Amino acid sequence: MCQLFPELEKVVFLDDDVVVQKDLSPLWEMDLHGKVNGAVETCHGDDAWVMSKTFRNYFNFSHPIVAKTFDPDKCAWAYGMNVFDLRAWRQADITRVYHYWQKQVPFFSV
Amino acid sequence: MICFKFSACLPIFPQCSQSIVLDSCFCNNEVLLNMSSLVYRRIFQMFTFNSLAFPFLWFLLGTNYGLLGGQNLQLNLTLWRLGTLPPALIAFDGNVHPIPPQWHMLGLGYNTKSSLEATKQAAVIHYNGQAKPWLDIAFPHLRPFWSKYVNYSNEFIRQCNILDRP
Repeated sequence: MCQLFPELEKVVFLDDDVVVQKDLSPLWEMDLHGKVNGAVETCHGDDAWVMSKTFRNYFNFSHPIVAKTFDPDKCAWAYGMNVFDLRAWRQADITRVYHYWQKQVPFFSV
Repeated sequence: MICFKFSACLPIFPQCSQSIVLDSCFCNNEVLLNMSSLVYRRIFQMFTFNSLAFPFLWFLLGTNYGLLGGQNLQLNLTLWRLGTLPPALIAFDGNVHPIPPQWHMLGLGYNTKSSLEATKQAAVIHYNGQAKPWLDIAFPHLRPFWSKYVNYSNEFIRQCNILDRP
């Protein structure tokens, strides 16, 4: 995304299955404390079914690389409405991290 | 083992009639969905007859080698589940700042018990899940939050066959 929008510093990302009901402009002012992605966490909330997602729900922790690298109890977050700070994105080089993990996906390996 | 991993993705081989392999097919499809186009090209190459490796692969695919693995078959090498979220969870790990949940309400596409009050209050409501508001399987009480903004007289909207009801 930082390559798609080289001129931009911040992006508000919305899925195509959302309805925007309020003014979203305050999101641009929101302090992300140097982080790249402002997102709603999905591991706690009033709705116990929707809001009970940790890394355990999304990853195969019987895989040694996953088990070694990640915490199964770490809180997950939601895609669909996110604030991305593209300056922080470039600084943290999120794109490189993403590509690194993409290459870890086994294909001909056992 | 190459052959198993490979054949598992294509239901035309005998191994894939076994449900356990079908599970594995599914897992492998997940993996494949995250592959680069380079890998897709490799698959294509391997299944064309001009590939030098083809006779060897064909021999392996015709065997039940994949099923003889027993316990090994159960070994799930998938790193993550289907979808764009898991790789993003990794890529942004340590770089996420939590924002108040009223900004983004989730679950309207799968949780029929979504709170109407919370739905009214949220800045963005998200119909994630199968029950999209424009489908017949939409939850009727959650649909109006979307349908009130739909212009049913619009030519393109009419072509979408969305039910014309509130």
